[in-house]
Amino acid sequence: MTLPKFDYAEPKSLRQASALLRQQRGKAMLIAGGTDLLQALKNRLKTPALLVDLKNIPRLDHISYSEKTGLQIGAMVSLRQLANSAVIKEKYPMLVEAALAVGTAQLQAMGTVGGNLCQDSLCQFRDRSPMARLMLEPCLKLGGHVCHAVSGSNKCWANYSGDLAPALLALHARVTIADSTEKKKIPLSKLYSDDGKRPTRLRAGQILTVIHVPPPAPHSGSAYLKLRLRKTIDYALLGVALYLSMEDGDAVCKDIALALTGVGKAPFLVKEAEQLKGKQVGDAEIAQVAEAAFKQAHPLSNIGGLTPAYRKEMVRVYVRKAFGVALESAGQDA
Amino acid sequence: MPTEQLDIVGTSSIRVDARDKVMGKAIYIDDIQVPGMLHGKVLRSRYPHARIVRIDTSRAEKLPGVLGVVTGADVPFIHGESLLDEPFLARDKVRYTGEGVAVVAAVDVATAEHALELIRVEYKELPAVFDPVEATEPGAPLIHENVGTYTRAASNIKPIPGTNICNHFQLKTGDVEKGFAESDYIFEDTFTTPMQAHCCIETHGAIALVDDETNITVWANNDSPHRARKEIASAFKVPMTKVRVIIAPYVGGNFGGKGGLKAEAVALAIAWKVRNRPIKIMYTREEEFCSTIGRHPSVVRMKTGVKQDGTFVARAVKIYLATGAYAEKGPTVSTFAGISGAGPYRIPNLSIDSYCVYTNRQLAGAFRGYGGPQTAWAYESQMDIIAHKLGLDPVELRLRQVYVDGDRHANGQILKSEGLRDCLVQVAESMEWNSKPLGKNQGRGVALMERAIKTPFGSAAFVKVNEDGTVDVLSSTTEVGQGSATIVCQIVAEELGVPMASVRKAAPDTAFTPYDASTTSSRSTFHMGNAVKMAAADAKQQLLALASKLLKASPDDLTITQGKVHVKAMPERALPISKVLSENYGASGTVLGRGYYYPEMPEGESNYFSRYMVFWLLGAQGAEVEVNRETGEVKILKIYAAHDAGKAINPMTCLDQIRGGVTLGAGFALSENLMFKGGTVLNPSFLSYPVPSALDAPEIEPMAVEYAHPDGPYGAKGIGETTNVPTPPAIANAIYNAVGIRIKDLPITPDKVLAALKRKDER
Amino acid sequence: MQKKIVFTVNGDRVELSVEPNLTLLDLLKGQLGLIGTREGCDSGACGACTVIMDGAPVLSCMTLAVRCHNRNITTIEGLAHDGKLHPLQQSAIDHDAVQCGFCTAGWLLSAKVLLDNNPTPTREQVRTAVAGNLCRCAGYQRIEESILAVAEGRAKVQE
Ligand SMILES: Cc1cc2nc3c(=O)[nH]c(=O)nc-3n(C[C@H](O)[C@H](O)[C@H](O)COP(=O)(O)OP(=O)(O)OC[C@H]3O[C@@H](n4cnc5c(N)ncnc54)[C@H](O)[C@@H]3O)c2cc1C
Ligand code: FES
Ligand code: FES
Repeated sequence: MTLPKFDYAEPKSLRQASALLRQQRGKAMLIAGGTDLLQALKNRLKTPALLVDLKNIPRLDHISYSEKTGLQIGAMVSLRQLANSAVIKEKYPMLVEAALAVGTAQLQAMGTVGGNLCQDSLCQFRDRSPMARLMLEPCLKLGGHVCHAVSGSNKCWANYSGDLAPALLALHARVTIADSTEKKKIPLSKLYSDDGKRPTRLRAGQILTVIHVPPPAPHSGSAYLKLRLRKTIDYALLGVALYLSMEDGDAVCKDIALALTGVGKAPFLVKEAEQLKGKQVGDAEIAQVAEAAFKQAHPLSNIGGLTPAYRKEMVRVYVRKAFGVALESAGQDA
Repeated sequence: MPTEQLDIVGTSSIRVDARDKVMGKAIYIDDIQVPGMLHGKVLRSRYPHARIVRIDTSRAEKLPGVLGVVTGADVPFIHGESLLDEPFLARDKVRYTGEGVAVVAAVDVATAEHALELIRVEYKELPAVFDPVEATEPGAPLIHENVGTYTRAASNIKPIPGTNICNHFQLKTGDVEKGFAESDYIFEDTFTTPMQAHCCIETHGAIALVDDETNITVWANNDSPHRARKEIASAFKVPMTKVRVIIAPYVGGNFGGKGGLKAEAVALAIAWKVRNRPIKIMYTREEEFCSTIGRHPSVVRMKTGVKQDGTFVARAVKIYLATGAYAEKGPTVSTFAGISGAGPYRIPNLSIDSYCVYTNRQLAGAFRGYGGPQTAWAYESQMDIIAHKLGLDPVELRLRQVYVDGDRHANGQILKSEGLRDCLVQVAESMEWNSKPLGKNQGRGVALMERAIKTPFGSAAFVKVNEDGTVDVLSSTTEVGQGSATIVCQIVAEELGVPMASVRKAAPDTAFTPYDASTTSSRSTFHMGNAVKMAAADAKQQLLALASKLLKASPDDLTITQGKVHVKAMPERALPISKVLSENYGASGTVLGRGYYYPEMPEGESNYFSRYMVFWLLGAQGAEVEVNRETGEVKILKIYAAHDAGKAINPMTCLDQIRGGVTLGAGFALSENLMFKGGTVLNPSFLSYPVPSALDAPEIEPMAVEYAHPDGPYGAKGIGETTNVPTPPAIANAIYNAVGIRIKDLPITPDKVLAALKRKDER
Repeated sequence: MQKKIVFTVNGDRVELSVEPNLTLLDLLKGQLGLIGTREGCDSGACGACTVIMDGAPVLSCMTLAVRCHNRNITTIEGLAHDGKLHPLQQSAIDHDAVQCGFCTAGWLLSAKVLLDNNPTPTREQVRTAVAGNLCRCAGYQRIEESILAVAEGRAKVQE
């Protein structure tokens, strides 16, 4: 498919960018790496009148770290840049794992952190050309009235499958959201809407500018595990991110966060994991958390070649595995 | 067998086309521009089965930049290779979701795309049928009401009137019922396979031009120009001289998918209406998945009777192949599936029924293996079920039953050049079948395959010696990545006595390159190999005759080496070919050698996909796998693959055919599955259809067995097409060996494995 | 609304006006005559359209031409110099890593980026680097061998 017609602007400041977005209310869209957006444009899932390019806005492609404030990642940092960053490799290996789990080397070079977080959700009944879509009734996400994934549903169940979101959720990330008048910092979990139609809560004019990650605690460990059919290209059919830190010198958990992707309308934190704080982490506790995660997962047959039942079953297995990896890395992190 | 010293044949010459390809200079169909060219786009059906009530193209026609819109009513022609059943665009009714309904020609692609949105089609839905077994049952919706009266390529294509069956192939030997009665054990299993998609990285494309006088020119990435030309000429009822098919210099993958008329058909439809303008249609990736062809989904029921000691007594096989909305190559795929349906084994009592069944889905046609993967999946899986039940070693059991030279094949033919046993022995040896220790949850398995080869069909070639002694080979074999261009040049260089560097093979063009039945079925090395060998020998004889008086020796005493004609015993009494030509013909020196190979056939055999085979495609593979009990994931540790090449003309490219096939087979085994909801393809992209990547491809040990064929050039037969066939059952057998579960439905995805492991533990 | 862009392709400065909805792929093939870049899916999933932009492998089918302003691009046509093949190209020929050739440009450029950044990669790193370049003829083993041979400075390998 050719691309639809649109105008193109490359503002030099956030203020300008936001103003452009506001002026065109709903008809303008941001472009970062473009790897998610261009798929949607080619398929005419989106037909913006204007694309607002973030590439010329200063400092959005910076990474900085201090022991006190932790990590700041600009929204325009590419996944490749993230994965090559010495400080991130050292302090936040899970972020590198998650970035390298995205698509392919090419997509990592093009895709940005902000674009990854703000990517659209997926549904195999929708993500096709207008020609092939003609073969199906228009669905809720396209302004129609049916959901092909859950028959009879009046809600859209498109699946969120981004890889960075769970890792950043587990690392307690916050994000700065800017518009032409103000900037605010919100927990990343607040970015997501749990609405398949629009996975983020960003309103017209709002731009995600920086991701903030607190410094890792001593004796911390982490793991990002991704389920997919191929070892590359594929989106997550399930992604499990676990971060934990242990009390000095014993097996008591000090901090923990578990997040999932690929099994619902939004990436989400499994709150029950927090009950492990202050406790010894044994098999029974892990099983309990795995069970809670299992219950929260809602995979559907709208993406991928594996049954939803299997993907749900794998939540237990992957959470268990993630604990294994994270605990081991926490142990090594003396 | 030829015992002569070979200089070029049998060596791993680098590919003649590799340099152009690594430099980005190779020209594919998408790179071809014809002056005045327009671009076409196809409107496709949104229903699997529906009457077309009305089509309104008026708004599209008025769009600036649109030069015409064509619908089925404007092109009332029918095409088809074995059964004439397919319109160029749907007429009266659509038979699958994705079928072409209208084509727009416009000044650019964007305008054509836009115009499609302006076409209104009114449909009236009809009941549809998707499952091949259901489609054969009484009361199933009829997809083609007149299948009984369709024109057939030959009388051995046997549709059953009043049903959805467009070919019923039968093969019976002995008395199966008696055989079953005499058996100690009866095994009955049903195996299924899904649709696999070809996924050539290059999509289909064509440029069609029809002028006022119905001269038709088509540029395409078709695998078989002469077949396409004949199909076009007979569909449009014009003499063949009016049809010219030009193949793009390079074709980006085929695997059977680029035969017949695909993009050619829709491009011709619009060109028939919008005359005197070349119109290009490049398929999108999505159209590749929804509106070309894939591998026949299958249901194979296999009943086998054996004696206590493992001797096979009887086997009854019922094969259902879902060919989709049109027959395409389905009838002959089902014939090949049937001929080898019982496997390459001595079984005295056989009953094979192979049904090619219409369904309301995307078509199935030729795809690497052509009926082989579906039946080998069944007979090789059941072979291990039997071996296990009887407590016999799977390799041992196969060695006892497998055909060898002198056996009578199920088709009645006495076998010669049957290297299958050697393949199995090599595989078993290299995988240290009985001795190598394997770890926990690891297992090994083997599988064999036999497949028919399109018989009897001819291939012709010209070898043109130029003024300067270089050589052009005119042959309609299409280079699609299999390496035929290289092999053809090697054979000509060898036979004529010139260096590889002076031989060139151009892409086919029906106006210049002589007849060839097709670049399919692994027939080129054997058939075209023979043809170019003859043509080169002919040219050589002419050159020797011309040189005879110059060198004052009889032609019999002359030969050619390194491009020089010389007296055999005295290499220094030599003349370069160019000199031989100029001395005889002045500035106009040329010699044209010709060759035509057509296999010798037994009396009374059909001349269209006969049951007798000029040679067989044979191979054995072994798999070592590890199963993850927690996740159900299967890791292929290694595949050992031995295929019978007769003689490897180019060992390097020959082994690469094996590697490529095994990777495709491993994809079919573990993940590939074109999924449907009703008639709609659910995963029509490279994102959602899991073509294996470099990280997913298994480790492979390829082996070319050289069991020479008396009629093959230098003993060669074909190899490339079926190197994917034994991979899935070898893997399934290894999985059974590892963890004791038997999956009978491809692909063997982790969810299926895990569910089977659970069921086993519960038992 | 056309936009003027200036960029470098294979060392040549290019200056032209483009529509915002033109992809780099269509610009290269359609307007600059650089046909060696291939279109396999037009949706970011096959890698056939890979080019190198400022040292990174990018998909030209997913890149807007307007965004290439001031960028430095290498396509497959820029790999050889004065008819002398890049070692990766020569190795691809010698190792029979080329079958139908449709994926070839893409993985050669992916491999170039890899070796430019990591002259001695492991087999796993080679695989990962070309994992975004689908090859249906599945010369993967040969592709890996051919890249490793360059990295290890090995001479020709024949069967
Ligand atoms: C073949 C293929 C495979 C893929 N596989 C994966 C995968 O495995 N995992 C995965 O996570 N993704 C995958 N993707 C999706 C995509 O490539 C990545 O998510 C990528 O990181 C998106 O980043 P981008 O910069 O290209 O986003 P863009 O396409 O530029 O933007 C995506 C969306 O976010 C909005 N946006 C971008 N930046 C901002 C911002 N700063 N503030 C507010 N809104 C913003 C855009 O308007 C757009 O709607 C795949 C894509 C393809 C084509
Ligand atoms: S054509 Fe660009 S990734 Fe396939
Ligand atoms: S060589 Fe054909 S796709 Fe790679």
